Formats: sequence, C-alpha cells, structure tokens
Amino acid sequence: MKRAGTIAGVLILLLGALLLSPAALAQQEIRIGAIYPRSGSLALLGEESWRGAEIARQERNEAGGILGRQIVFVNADAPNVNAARSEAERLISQQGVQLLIGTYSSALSMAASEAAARRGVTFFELGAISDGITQRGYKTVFRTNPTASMFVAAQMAFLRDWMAPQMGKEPEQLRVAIAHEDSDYGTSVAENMRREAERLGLNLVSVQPYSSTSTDLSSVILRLRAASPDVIVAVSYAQDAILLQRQAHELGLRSKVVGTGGGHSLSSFYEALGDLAEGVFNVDFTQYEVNTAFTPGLEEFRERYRATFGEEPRSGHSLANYMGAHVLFDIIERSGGSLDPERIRASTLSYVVRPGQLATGWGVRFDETGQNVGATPLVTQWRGGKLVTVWPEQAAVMAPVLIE
Amino acid sequence: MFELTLQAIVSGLLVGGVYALMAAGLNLIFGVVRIINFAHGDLMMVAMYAVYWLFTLSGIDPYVAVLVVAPALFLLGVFLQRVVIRPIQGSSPLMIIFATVAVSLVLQNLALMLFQGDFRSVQTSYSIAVLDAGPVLVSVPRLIAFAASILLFAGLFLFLRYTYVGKALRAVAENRTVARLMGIRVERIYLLAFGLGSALAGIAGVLMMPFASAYPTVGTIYTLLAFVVVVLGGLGSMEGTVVAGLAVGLIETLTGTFISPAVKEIAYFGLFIVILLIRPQGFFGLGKGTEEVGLK
Amino acid sequence: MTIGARARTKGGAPTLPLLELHALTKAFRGLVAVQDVNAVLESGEIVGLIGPNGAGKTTLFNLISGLHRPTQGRILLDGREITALPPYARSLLGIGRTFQIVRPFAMTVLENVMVPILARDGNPTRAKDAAQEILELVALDRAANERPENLTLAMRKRLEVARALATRPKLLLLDEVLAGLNPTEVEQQLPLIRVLRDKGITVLMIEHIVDAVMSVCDRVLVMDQGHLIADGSPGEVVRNPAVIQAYLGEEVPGA
Ligand SMILES: Nc1ncnc2c1ncn2[C@@H]1O[C@H](COP(=O)(O)OP(=O)(O)OP(=O)(O)O)[C@@H](O)[C@H]1O
Ligand SMILES: [Mg+2]
Repeated sequence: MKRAGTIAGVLILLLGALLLSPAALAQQEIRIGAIYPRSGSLALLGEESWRGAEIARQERNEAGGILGRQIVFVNADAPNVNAARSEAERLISQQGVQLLIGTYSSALSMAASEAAARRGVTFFELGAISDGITQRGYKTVFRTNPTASMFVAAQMAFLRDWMAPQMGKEPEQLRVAIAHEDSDYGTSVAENMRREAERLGLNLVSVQPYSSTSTDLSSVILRLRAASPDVIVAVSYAQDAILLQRQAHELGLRSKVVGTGGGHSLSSFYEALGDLAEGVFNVDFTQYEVNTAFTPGLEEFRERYRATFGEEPRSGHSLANYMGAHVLFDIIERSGGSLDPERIRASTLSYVVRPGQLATGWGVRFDETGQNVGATPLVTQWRGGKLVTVWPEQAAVMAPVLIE
Repeated sequence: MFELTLQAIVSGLLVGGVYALMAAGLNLIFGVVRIINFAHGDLMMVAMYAVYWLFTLSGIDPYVAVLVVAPALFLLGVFLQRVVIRPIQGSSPLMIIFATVAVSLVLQNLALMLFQGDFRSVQTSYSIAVLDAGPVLVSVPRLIAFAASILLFAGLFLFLRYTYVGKALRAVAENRTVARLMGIRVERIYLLAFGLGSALAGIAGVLMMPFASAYPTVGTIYTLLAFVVVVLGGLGSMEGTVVAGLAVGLIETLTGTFISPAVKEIAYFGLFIVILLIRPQGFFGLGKGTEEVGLK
Repeated sequence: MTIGARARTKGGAPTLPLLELHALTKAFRGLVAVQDVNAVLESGEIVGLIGPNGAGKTTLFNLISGLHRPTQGRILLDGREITALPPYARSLLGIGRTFQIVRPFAMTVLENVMVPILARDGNPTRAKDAAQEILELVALDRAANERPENLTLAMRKRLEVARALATRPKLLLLDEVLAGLNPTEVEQQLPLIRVLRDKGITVLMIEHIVDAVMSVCDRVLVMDQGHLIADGSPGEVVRNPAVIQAYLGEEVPGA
C-alpha cells in the first residue's frame, strides 16, 4: 500500500511538472500576431495604435483572459510594405500564429492581410481605413474601424447639414476645395470626396494634390486662395497638415478647414500651431473629448494608458485599436477560444453591438465583406488646445462654432 | 495674376534661401573632403531637436540657441570626420556612401528611440507673425531665415576669399596634393570643412525651427534637396549653390502654382536628372572630383 | 623673409649631406617604378635628373616630397629620417616642389603664392610682402593680380616655381619647369635657377632638355626603368655607355 502511494505521488508530481512546463503553458495561451510599424516614418501612429491593442490585452488578461487563457501578442515591426508582408509570413510559418492584428497604415494592411488570407489565416484590421482592405473577397479579413468612404460620408454630411446653414448658404452655394496628399491613400479619399460632394450637390471649386513630404506648400495655398473657397477639406499626414495650416495663415487664406483624420487630429498639430489650430474641424476616429455617456470605458482606457505609458494618448488611434482588440477578444470567446478561421468568421458575422456601448461609441455589425458597418467617424474641432467632439449631437461635448 | 505671380516668386525665394543654406554645408564638405554626406539633413534634424529642447526646458529663444547649437554641430561634424570618415578615406566611393548612410540611419533611429516619432515644434511670439507688404504677404520667421542665409553666404564668401583658412579650404578643394606640398595640413582642413558644413546644417535647422517641426526623419528630404541644389549649382561651387538654391525654390513654387502642386517635386528632380545627364558639372560647376565620389 | 635663409652655406666645416636616399624602392602593384636608388645631395648643388619617359623620375620626386610612401628604403634630410613624415611636415621642414603639369589654384597670382606662406605664419601683411618679393624674383610682380589662367605657359611655370619658393625650401624639386617652352623662353628661365642657388637653395631638377641641364647643373643623375644608372658631372654622364644605351643608342643630345 505504502508503495502504491509513493508511485501515485510521483505520478502526480510528474503530471504537475508537465502541466507547468512552458510547452504546456503555451498550449493554453492564445497567441495573436501584432503587426505595426514601430520604427521608420510611420512609427509615431504605428506605436500609438499598438499601445491601444496592448492595453486591451493587459486588461483582458487581468480579468482572467479568454475562457481562462491568457492572451499573448507576438509583436512584429513592419516599417514598410515588404516588412509587413514578410513579417506576416514569418509569424504564420515560423511562429505558428493563427490570427493577426494590425496595422494602422492601409498599405501595410493590404500587404499583411493578403499574406494572411492566402494561408487561410484570420486577419483583423483595427485602424487602417482604405476601403480596399475589405473589398478583395477574402473570407478571413475583417475590420473593426470605419473606412475612408465612411469618413468622407460623415464629412460631407457635416458640410451640408451644419456648415452650409451656419454660413447662411444653400448646399450648392457652399464653395468647397480639396487639398490632399498624393499617395494612393490621399488620392482615393479625394476621389471619394469629389463624388460625395457632387452627390450632395456641394459646389466643388478646386482640388489640389501635393506630396506629403513637401517642405513648402505655398503653391498649394496660392492655388486654393485663387479659388476662394468657404471651406477646405484636407487629407493630410502629420507634417503636411501642420504646413498647410501654417502657410494658409502666412499667405492670408482664411477659409475654414476640415481635416480627414491623420495629421489634423495629432496633439503635435496643436503644439506646432497654437492659436492657428483653433477652430479647425476634423473627421476622425473617436477622440478623448467626447460625451462619455456615448463612449463607456473611455475614461478607464485613458487612465490605464497614462499609468502604462506615462503620458496622455497622442491620438484616437490607440482608442480605436483598444476597442477593436476587445471586440476581437469577445469574438474569440464566442467561438469557444478556438482560432479556427471558419468558427471565427461565424462568430464575427453574428456579433452585434449597438452604438454607444463601447469605448469608441461605435456600433458593431460586420457585413459579408468583413467590414464593421456599425462604426461611425465623429466630427471634432480644436478648441482651446483640445480636440473636442462637436458632431453628431449625441457624441458632442460642445456645439460646433465657426471661428474667424 | 500679377499679385499671384509676385507672391509665388517671393515665397519661392524664401524657401530657396534655406535650401541654399542647407546645400552650402553639403557642398563645402563635398568640395573639400570629397565625400557626399548622406547624413547632412540628419545633422539639421539634430540641431532642430537641440533647439526644441533648449526652448522647452530652458525657455531659450531659437535664435539665441544658435550660439550653442552651431558650435555643437561643428564639433559633431569634426567628430564624424575624425571617427567615421577618416579611417575609410581613400577607399571606394561606395564605401564612403555606405558610411554616411549608416550615420544617417543611426541618427534617425537614435532620435526615434529618444524622442519617439512625435512632431516637436516651438511656438514663439514671432512664429506666426506676417508682414503685409502691399501685394505680397511675408512670414516674418521665413524672412529672417532668408535674410540670415544671405548674410551667412556673404560671410562665407568673404571668409573663403580673404582669410588664410578660407584660402587653405579652397586650395584643398582644388587640389589636395598640391595643398599638402604647400605645407597645408590637409587632414585638419578636412576636420574644419566637415565641422563648418555641419554647423551650416545646424544653423539651417535653427532658422527653420520657428516655422517647422522636428521629427526623426525630417532630414531625409532636406538631404535630397540639398543634393539636388549642389548638383544643379555645381559640385564645389558656392556661387552656384546660392543660385541653384533660389532656383529650386522658385521652380518649386512657380510650377506648383501655375501647373500643379503635384508636379513641383517632379519639376526640380526632372531638371536635376537632365543636368546630371547633359552637364554634370552643374551651372557653375568646377566638375572636378565628381568621379571620386562615384558621380561620373 | 629672405629666400633660402635657412639653407646652410657651402664650405666651412664638413657638414651632413642635405638629402640622402638609401636603397629607395617604390612598387605599384606589379610595376617597380623606382628600384634601389641610392643618392646624396649636398647643400647648394644644382643637380639634374634625366632619363627616358617612364624612368621613374616623377615617382622619385613623389617619394622625396612625401606624396608616396616608399615600399623600401629610407630618406634623410639633414641627417634626420623623414621617411614616414606626411607631405605637409616635409614642406615645413624645407622640401618644396613644382609639378610637371602646372597646378595653380583658382586665385590671383599673388594669393597663390601667399597660401604656403600663410600656412607657416598667419600674418596676412607679412605674407603679402613676402609673396611680392618672391614674385619680383621670378619676374611676375607685374602679374600679381592676374588670374593664372590668363598667363602664358612660361609665366605659369614661373608661378609654379614662385609658389614652391614660398614654402621657403632648402631643397627645391623642379619637375620639367622648362618643358613646353620655346628656346627663347628657356634662355630667359635659366638664370632664375642660378639665382636660386645663389640664394642657397639646393635644386634637383628633372629636365628633358638636355642642353639646359648641361649648362646649369653641377651634377647629373640618370634614371632608366627605375634604376639609377649614372651619377656624375654632365661631361661624365654623356659619355657613359649605359646612359647612351638608355637613350636607345641615340647620341645624347648636346654631347
Ligand atoms: N600612382 C601610380 N600608380 C601606378 N603606376 C604609376 C604611378 N605613378 C607612376 N607610375 C608608373 O611608374 C612608372 C614611372 O613613372 P614616372 O611618372 O615616375 O616616370 P617619369 O620618369 O616621370 O616619366 P616622364 O618623363 O614621362 O614624366 C611609369 O610606368 C608609370 O606608369
Ligand atoms: Mg615625370
């Protein structure tokens, strides 16, 4: 008897050791590849985006993980398209990752998600906005954030429904100009704008493409000035958004400006421009000065961000990725912790949240293409150094104003 | 139309002045040390961060900061020449290009590590001041940058022409072999040229900081622009640098204004390529030494 | 400044030779341009260095002035080893040279001559005076403010000499300063070389115009294919069979 007891004891010890061995632990973890540009010229917002997803991960793990399993990110830096593709391939083939998230930049997203989809691996985009990402017929590519055309729709609706009446004009009298950086991103957004403006009957008076690496945009401003627009809709990255605003001032162009996410929403936009930023509108992911009744969980996110990274979030990109990551974790939970692509797809398509329930305020409802059509961009305005949400009303903390 | 043209010309000249200043440093280093410094714009980036931190931490005005930043950049340039360039001088042009590209990458990644990718700007009382000069508007900090560039050029010309050190720089630029035999300590002149060239990049950074932002990769486009200006104006020619710098500024704003902003970069890069093909010595070029750096 | 002030006077107590070349060899990859050359230059001599094209004469100058490091051998100036010194240091020690192909800087004639003076003494006024004095010596004083490209070849050659003189040499290496000049110009140039000697400067000159070498040199060195094949008075050298052989059996001109 004594002998049997000893054997049982040894067996239990062995079993315990087996369970606690790294291999066994790894079995339990849910491993997700996180591809973001964290060096190079996209690093600022790439890093910002990653931080949001990372906070969601930590939060979820502290709350017990997904069905008791901890979530682990296998992080990869993708400063350019080639790196995005090769890192996606490496994570899948060498690290055995079955689900990828990312990427902030549309070009990177296209490359990484294609590499994933070709291998039948699920890819969740949490921040890039190019429409094409979810329009290639891939069954395993999803996106939680709004697309570029959703941005444009919100922007033009704002011009027609608020700006024109505010200026005492009919929509067809509102002189609209577009200034856009001339990469694929800016060009396709501008093309959407042109169509949407025409559809809504706005008076489009000028379209000015320019290179976002320009050191001087006086010619853009001079051409815009010659068209004397009421409002300029800009599609810009960080540096050029600042440059446009500054040179508009230097060259006496006083039209209202509405940005399209990107550079116009960065805190550095205000830091660089100060008073010149006052009153600039922007259509963007949900920002922090928003009616928090509409965005439950936002304050907690912000506090956690501060505690983790020792500074204020630098843009809404982190928040969008935070929300998207949580949605993804919920979806994995609903598929019983399985990362099997078909089960993930099934639980994704059946997952619905009404607007005003999540930290971004966005609703969730995925269509057949994998796009979350419940997400809505908000209109914000720079007021006293803060980017406050001004439109639509249920999300607004202040009413929009025209500042001379 | 007249007002528009005038404004475009003024704006073009204003940016052109800064381009010329950036290019002057690059050209000085090229002319004397016979290397193309691909980290030139990154030296400007370092200066811009220095201005930012001096302003943010100690409230030092950007224009005052030049007293610290220019000498600091001079020393950085001397350091680079002594530690990075000298050991490989005389090896293949490609090797030296790799070395300066490596310096560029190191500086950019250092900046990214230390300061993240954020855009850093200083706001001074004069940052957004604008002068209403009748038909044209002139940004005050841009005007200051332009005027300071022109003054620096005048100083540089006088220095090169009338001082011994200036003559020695020219002598080395023209013929280092002969210069050596004249008793000129050529290695020291290299240090000096790299130091001065870097200081000029630094001063350009200082002058731009009131109206531009610092970020890790801000220098890349300026390296490229300075290179275009140097080739257009002629490798080794300071007069050419001024003219070409202003010309690039003018081409940029005029084509941008009257054709399309989308083609303004194409315009000067196109001109650059044409010049490289048909007149590699540039408008004013001495043409000497181009083969040494792998251009011919 | 007095030209050649530092040169030692001849006669007096037995002195060290000014320049000693010991077993000097220079190889460029496969090609040996200078091979085992031994020679001595006394202060105040005018020595000619002749030899067919490609004999290694200019290479020897490059070794002495420090532009090339010898593959083997030693160089002594005033008994002091200078084999490893960089060119600027040799220049400061008193070795000056001209180039076969004139290489003035794109500055005025005066400024060209000022550069080496300023490299020793930064005072511009003194440098200007000294430069003017040298220009007078080579009869270029009236062209002081011209740009070198506007000068005749003969004048540019004199500028080359002037600039070398401005380094205050004890030993002046002249590489074909007479080449390309017409006979009249050569006649005009020769007295200058004697004046230099009178100033106490030792001269080693490469020259193809053998007449000129014979008339002005105290001694002649002859090189062929990297070797020093003769060393003697002009009269001895032209009768040396090896020299005659080196010039492909031709009668040595002027012999
Ligand atoms: N830097 C170098 N690299 C390789 N070979 C060289 C170099 N300099 C000289 N040579 C070679 O060494 C040999 C001697 O050349 P050097 O110029 O010394 O001759 P030289 O006697 O001055 O001739 P010339 O009378 O034509 O001036 C030639 O074959 C030349 O090609
Ligand atoms: Mg020769």
